[in-house]
Amino acid sequence: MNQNEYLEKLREELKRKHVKDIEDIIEEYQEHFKCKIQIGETEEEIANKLAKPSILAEEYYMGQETNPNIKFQKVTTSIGVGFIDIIMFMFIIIIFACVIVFGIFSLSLMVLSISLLTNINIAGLIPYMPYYGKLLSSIAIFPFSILWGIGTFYSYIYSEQWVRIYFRWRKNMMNYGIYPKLQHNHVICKLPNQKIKKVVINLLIVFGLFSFIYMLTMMAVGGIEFWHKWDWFQ
Amino acid sequence: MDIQYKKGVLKLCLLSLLYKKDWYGYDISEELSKLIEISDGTVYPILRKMKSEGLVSIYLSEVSNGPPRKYYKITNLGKNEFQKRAKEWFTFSELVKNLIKENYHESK
Repeated sequence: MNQNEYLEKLREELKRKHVKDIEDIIEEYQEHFKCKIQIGETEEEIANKLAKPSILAEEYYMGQETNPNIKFQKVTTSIGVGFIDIIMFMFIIIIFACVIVFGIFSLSLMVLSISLLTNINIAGLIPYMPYYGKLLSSIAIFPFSILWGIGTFYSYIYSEQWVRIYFRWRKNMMNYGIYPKLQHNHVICKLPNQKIKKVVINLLIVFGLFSFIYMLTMMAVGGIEFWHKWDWFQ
Repeated sequence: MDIQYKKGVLKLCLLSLLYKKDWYGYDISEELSKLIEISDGTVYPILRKMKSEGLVSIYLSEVSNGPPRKYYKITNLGKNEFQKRAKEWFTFSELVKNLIKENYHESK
């Protein structure tokens, strides 16, 4: 082990045993390393000759006066965390409900696009449109549905990451912060420029097509509000 | 030498070293390691405990090259404690010596 590894391990063990003034203790061992390095020893040698961090932490723990308040502290922390839990729980339900809604929306757009294309009118829900209108709408809606699909995927990843961060925070609260920071979700980290470009291009296609359809249908009908001409809402 | 055996004694030895002069943490750790076989770094927790018991006090002293160093100094309470424990030690070790000497065969 080198100096940093040893001191990190010592820090971890001291935290685990709830020792006070940890940085003060670490400083003393930094001095020890410094002095030993000056007389020519390597970090590896110094670390090997030092007692194991777990043993030292135990000694520091035994040497402390017991904190009579520790039980009280734990109880109040638990109550506080409990309250936050209730709020968070509702929040998490809402977030995941949103993710599900996105997913369903994306799916329904896909279904709409397909049924427009193939002229299959599911339960007579799709109002009358000349076929060119259906075709164009279908082509416009399809990438849109894919966009929502991607959106659902990412929102799920973010939500999951968010929930995990919350649980890690909660764990730290109950255990005096000994757990390390979570690794960032690898998918989010890989958000490269190409993906964003692709998304933007999709959006542009959609927007362009929609505008195109709109203009075409307006021209075909000879008026701005084509849905009235075709009696959609009666 | 077994570690449990040594622990109670180390405090006594440290107090003795500190009796006549103040020590820098690293220096007293090295000094004790020379006299008794102990792992590096085991002195520091003992010093910390002695400080919390009021047997030693800490002061910082400026050094020409680098940050100020932490020095340990024995207190009056520490001196009293030392005398008490030293007496205990001599009494105890005399008792133990008398008990075991008849069965101890010194290798010639």
